[in-house]
Amino acid sequence: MPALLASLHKWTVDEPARSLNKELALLFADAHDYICVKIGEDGGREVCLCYLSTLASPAKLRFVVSEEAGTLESRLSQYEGTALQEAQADSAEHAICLGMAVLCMEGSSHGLVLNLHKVQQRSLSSPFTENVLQGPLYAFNENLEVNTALVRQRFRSSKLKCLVSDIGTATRTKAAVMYAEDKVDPDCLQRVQDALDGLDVQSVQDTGELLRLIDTKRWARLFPKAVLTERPDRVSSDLLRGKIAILLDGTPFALLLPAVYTDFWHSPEDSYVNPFVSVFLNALRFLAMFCNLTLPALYIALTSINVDVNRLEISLAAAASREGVPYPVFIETMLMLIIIDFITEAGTRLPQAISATVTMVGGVVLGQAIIQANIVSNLLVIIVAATAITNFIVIDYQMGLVQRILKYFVCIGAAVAGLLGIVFCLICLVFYLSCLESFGTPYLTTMLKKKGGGA
Amino acid sequence: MTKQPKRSAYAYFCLFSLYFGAAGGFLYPSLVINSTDGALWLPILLWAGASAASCLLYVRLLRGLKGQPLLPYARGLLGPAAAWLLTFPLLLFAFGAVIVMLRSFSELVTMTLLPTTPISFLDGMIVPAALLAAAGLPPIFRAARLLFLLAFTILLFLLLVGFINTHLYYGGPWLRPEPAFLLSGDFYGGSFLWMGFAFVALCGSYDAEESRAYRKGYLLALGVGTALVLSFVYLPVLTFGRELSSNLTFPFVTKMDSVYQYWIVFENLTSIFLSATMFCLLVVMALKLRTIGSVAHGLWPKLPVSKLVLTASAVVFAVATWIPEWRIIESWLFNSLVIRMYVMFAFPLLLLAAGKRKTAKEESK
Repeated sequence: MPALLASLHKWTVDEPARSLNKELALLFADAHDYICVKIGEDGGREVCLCYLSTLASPAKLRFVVSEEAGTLESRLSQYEGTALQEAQADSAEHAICLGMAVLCMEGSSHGLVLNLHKVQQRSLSSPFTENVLQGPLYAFNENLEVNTALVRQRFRSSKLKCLVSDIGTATRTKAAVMYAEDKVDPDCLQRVQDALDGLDVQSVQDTGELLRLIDTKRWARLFPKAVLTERPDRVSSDLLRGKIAILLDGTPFALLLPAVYTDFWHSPEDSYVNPFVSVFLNALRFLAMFCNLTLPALYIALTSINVDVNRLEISLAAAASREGVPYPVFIETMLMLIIIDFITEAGTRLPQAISATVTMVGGVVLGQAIIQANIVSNLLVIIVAATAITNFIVIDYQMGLVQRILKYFVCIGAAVAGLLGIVFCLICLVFYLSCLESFGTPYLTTMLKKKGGGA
Repeated sequence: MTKQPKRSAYAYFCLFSLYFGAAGGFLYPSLVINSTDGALWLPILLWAGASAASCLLYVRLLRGLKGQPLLPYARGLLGPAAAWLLTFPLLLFAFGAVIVMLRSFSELVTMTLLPTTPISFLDGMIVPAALLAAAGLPPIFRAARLLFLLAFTILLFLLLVGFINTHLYYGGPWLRPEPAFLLSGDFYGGSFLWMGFAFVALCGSYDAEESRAYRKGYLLALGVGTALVLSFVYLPVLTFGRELSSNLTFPFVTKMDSVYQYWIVFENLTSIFLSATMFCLLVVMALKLRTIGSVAHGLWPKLPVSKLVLTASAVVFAVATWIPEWRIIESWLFNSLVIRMYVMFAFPLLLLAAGKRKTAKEESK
């Protein structure tokens, strides 16, 4: 290492009050995985290597054991890695936290950063939230570099740009903003960059959290303003449609923005199947969304307020089904909706092996028992089951959660003013959506594909 | 500041069509049926023609605005005092229109679906319209595009269903014009239906391209709207006959009430019609409230439009709730004719004349 040590010699002239290795030892005091190992001497000054054993791998270093001055000593002889960088206390601390090692010499305030970063990651697997039957079957993992590479492998062009910045004063999480230079809307890109630059937070753990932070209008946070995806193929195709992708280190979900309402109803699979089938599936999803919002509300309206709107036979059948039920329709419906949401939530949170049992007990046993106990009507159980199924048709998990909330809102409208209450709630929803914007793009833009506007 | 894209002719078409959907189904059929003993289509087409002519006047005016709204242009052209004097009637007109619309729909809901619900509660439907109006004109257009699809799908279904049990011979005379309708108050009272373009012209910024989209959108919507209004008028007549229809306050609503087909899941189509109308109505109310805000902003430029809209909404709610009886609304329809004629023809003509005079003056210098 003569050249290496020669460069170290240049930094010995400053003679600081506390040399870099002592500074680092102080900063990383009480960190059990902090290692500072002497690797040799030069001109009577100790040279040591500092790193976190949990993040760095010294396998890239070669040591030789030699006998000098009558004692056996191990000395650094070779380093295989990226180019060396100079660092002072702050940058050296950051480098160590990133998994690098810092080579310091006694009496110097500078060190050399060696890239010994050991990648901790799981291997690529199938998507958890965006399953498809046709199309690519791998998803992002938690490593930013791997994720960026996955996008680059699907978008092999110099037009694909990737800006990286650190977010969070404590976590210094790396965020990559990717876009296609010739497709992106510059105004939108500027907005996104301004939003990221303006962040003043300690930490960001996930892209969902990042979205909450950059979406500054509190009243407009009900609907997600960006699509969360774990599929590289979706990111790649959306980049080509002028969208911007934000990838965050430590999370497998990328943010795609700007997003419009219809984006949340498209599956990546839509582009891979027969166009007629795709249109049919889209229509099915919107129908499901409409049913999910209005079915329980219609039950309330048509059995309690607008009884005359229904055909007499249907009204009589509904009344017969409710015979013996002691609660008002509204209470009965809310009770069932809350129970079905309990079951859904329990099924989501529990381990897969138990969740099937919970669903079975909740759905079948509880449903049967609740009818026999005359707490709710048969018709309502059918309606609530249909509502739950239609909720699972929602492609985007975030949008599915919003739908779950909105159906209660429509039910309250139905309980207050019947059919007109439902219509009023739907209109309020449309008005609210029409006031929203996702990074300068109106949320209710056309369903046709266009630059920056999404679907 | 979000860069707003140009509004397309389709966006204008949707909004103008919703205007016809919101205002055409309640009082208008009764006014037309009572206005003449001759062919019913004649008064309708006459107003449609007048509406097209007035719209073209506005288009001519909007073409020269060079990207600014109409009222600041009027202020610059005429000076603050004259502009104030000319635009104040517009404010009265817009206030009257939205109050009548809100109260008449609340009355209709009380009469048909929710008889025990207080009017003040139903008038509360103005709240989302007010908030949408305060958010600006682009959200109104966006909401209109979506609600147009919903509302007109339902209306189309209702009109098709409405043709069941109709008899053509009830609709006559088909070809005998009766000029006497020109002297009928009912004929002039119906003018409120044909003024949607004026509200849109009074808010928003325009240039040559935008005014072209405005013209195209309105003329298309006028075609659709006229067909819709003809259906609203003729369907009850073809079902009940002229005599019975003329005695009904809301002939089309009654017609909807009379439809019974075993294959239709719903028995009471009135509620479906009211739902479709509500889709149209709240957007149109938002548009009218936005117009009030824009006109008031023209009169008091220092006050922000959104606050003016919210204040105006509170006033509209109070007045609509305070109106003691239905007859007052009907009398307003007849008595406000002068203001409506002023908005349709006098106001754009005055501004066009003033603009021409100013150009001539500048050229002579």
